[in-house]
Amino acid sequence: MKFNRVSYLLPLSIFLVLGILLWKGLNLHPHDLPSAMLGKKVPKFEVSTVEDPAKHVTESIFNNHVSVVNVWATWCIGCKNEHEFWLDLAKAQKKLKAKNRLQLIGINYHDTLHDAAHWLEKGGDPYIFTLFDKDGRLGMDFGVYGTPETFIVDQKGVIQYRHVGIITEAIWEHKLVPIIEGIKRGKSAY
Amino acid sequence: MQASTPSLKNLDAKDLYTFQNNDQREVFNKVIHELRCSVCQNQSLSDSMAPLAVDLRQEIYQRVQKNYSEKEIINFVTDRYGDFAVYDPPLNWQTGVLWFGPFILLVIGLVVFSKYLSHSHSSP
Repeated sequence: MKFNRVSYLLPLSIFLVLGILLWKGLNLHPHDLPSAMLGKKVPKFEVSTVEDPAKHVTESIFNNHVSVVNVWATWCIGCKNEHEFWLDLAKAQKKLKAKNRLQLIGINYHDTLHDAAHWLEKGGDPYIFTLFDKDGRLGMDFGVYGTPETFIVDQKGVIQYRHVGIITEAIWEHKLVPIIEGIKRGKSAY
Repeated sequence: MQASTPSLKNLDAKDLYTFQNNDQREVFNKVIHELRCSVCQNQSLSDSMAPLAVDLRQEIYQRVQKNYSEKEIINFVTDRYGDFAVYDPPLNWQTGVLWFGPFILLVIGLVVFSKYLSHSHSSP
């Protein structure tokens, strides 16, 4: 009978649908929020740099380069762990031809100039410069939740990708390098 | 005088701000209760002491003082932190399932139920 078949299939299909939903739920990371800034231009800003407080830079630094923007702070333990990676990356970049290099930019978030400058002097400075974001206002315009966070910005100043948390060699190689290569070929990552 | 000073225990975020008029106070209170703290996700901006929530409150306060509307201020935050930042999600294709899903399920339930009823009626 027709109804009998349905009465058998209904519980099974409910089970399957629930099973799939719950299975997906196991792999959800509700704390990894997508950035609302993907596909948008970097915000307008004019801030000084940690390396040279007299120097003021604006969003025009993002023109014509693929940039990697690392948001860090001296009070951030994750940033300390990550620092070695950025130093290695900067060293590797120096070996490339100038036109192939990535622009490594730091944003020093919620910090003091003294602490930030000291950190870069003592620990080494991988960035071409570090934007000094004393009160987190620039970070807010980038949609920053906390440190460390890393953004990839394309040659036109459009935010293409955001990574929350520490970047390791493995994450860099497997996740970010393909994205950067894609951007260089004009493929958007979001 | 002593009695009118709020004790530290009962101090709420909104008590730390002073406003030129009640309209501004109302907009501020409404906005910080409507917005979710993106860092500690089960708290509103008004509850949270996370650094980002403190920053956002300060920014919202400044915007209220400049007489931005409630909508403009909420847009300022969702432009940067996404629809997730509001407790009352807007209706768009991403949230459509949330809004219409229950009704679709209800219709399916009704169809199944009526089939069941008509079946049990027709069979002896």
